[in-house]
Amino acid sequence: MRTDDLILKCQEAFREKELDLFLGFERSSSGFLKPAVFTSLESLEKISWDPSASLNLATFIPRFKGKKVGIIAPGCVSRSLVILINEGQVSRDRLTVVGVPCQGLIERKKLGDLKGVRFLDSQNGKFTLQRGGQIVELPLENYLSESCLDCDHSGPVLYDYLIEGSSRKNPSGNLEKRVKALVELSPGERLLYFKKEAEKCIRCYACRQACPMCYCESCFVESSEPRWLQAAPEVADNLIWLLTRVYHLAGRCVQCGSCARACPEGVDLMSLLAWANQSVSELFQYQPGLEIGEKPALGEYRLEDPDFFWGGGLTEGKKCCS
Amino acid sequence: MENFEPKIIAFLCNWCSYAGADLAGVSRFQYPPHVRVIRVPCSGRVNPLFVLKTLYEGADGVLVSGCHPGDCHYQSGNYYARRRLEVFKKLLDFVGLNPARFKMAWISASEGAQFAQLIREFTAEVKETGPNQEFVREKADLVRFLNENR
Repeated sequence: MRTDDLILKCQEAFREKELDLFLGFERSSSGFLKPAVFTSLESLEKISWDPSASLNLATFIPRFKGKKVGIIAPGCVSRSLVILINEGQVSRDRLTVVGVPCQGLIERKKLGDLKGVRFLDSQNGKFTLQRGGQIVELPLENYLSESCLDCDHSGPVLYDYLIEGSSRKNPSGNLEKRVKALVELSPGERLLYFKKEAEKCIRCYACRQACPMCYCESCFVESSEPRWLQAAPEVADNLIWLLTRVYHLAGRCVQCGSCARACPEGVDLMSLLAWANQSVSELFQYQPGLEIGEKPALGEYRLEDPDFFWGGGLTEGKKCCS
Repeated sequence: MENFEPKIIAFLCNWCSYAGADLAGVSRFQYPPHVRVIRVPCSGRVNPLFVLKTLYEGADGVLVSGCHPGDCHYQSGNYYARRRLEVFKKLLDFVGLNPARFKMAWISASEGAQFAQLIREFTAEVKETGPNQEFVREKADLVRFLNENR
């Protein structure tokens, strides 16, 4: 994929569809891509897309209600858009999607200290950085974020314009393995693991801000009546936050990893989210964000759903983990 | 542990389970006194946050009960509850919080005897699980600091 092609395609989309604004990335002073809103054809000359981006752009869509918005979308973003359409957050006819190929995104936490680091370029599975006056070339594979290594929908599923190019293949399956390893631990060990993760959390809510599915105008954590949790980031309070967020995302998360990349403390959000998606797909045969018109898994029901209630059809013999 | 008297919070739906509990009382069925009832309009009203919050504030067990499938006063509330609470219970299990502290049940307005039976069973299970120490509210640092340095 060449940047020129991207610029031309986005400008074409902007002109043809008479868009109000276009969501994309532009280069920041450190060379890493930052999200940007483009409002004119000329400004679109700065639009860019490479593995140094981090955020899922669909996050901004609910903020521009009623506007005609264009957006560049790799696989995960396009799936997020499908869910936003299904949940009535944006209408399909106001949305113009420019599908882009994706080689995965860099997890900046893997690069260590970012002071004085400039991102230069990325090509053919490698990227170049300038670090303390030196130029280093690094293999992309070693620095990709966890969710990108595990990605099984790297190409867009929904688009009006498509930019040709190769997308990342061969998902690693690491997340699934980690979830499996966790499930095989004893409940006590699992609790210890997640309490350690919750201890790291400082409840900055960067994960929520980076998530395209967390579009609620008022979040339960900020509610003062009732007050669900204390302001101080204590372990039990953090666990309430992490668990409730995961529960809210069960069957809605496309595992773009936007939250995990945004987390400053490196909390293991991905194994919780991967587990939630897995169990929703096992229980209700459901894959999020692949089909327009589908209802969220926990927003509908079937008469023949599994029933584990006391006094119900099935007994509690079947259990999830132990 | 033998003297452990658990605290159990039961969210009962107004139309079936609450009436079932009422019938158990009117019929003079005996059941353990550890359960405190909170009446909710429908089992579909029970946000999983209620369960987390209840445990967090110090309960040892949480029960959610509603009308049997097909009997919901609002047609479908209990079907939603069935999906949601099932996922939630599995989530509790996955993070290592003991799922025995959380029980879901169907009790109709005519099932007074079953309600008494359910409470007997659940109380015994929670007693066996022991007091909830793994997931309770901690005092914020400042409060703790003031208490320790009084």
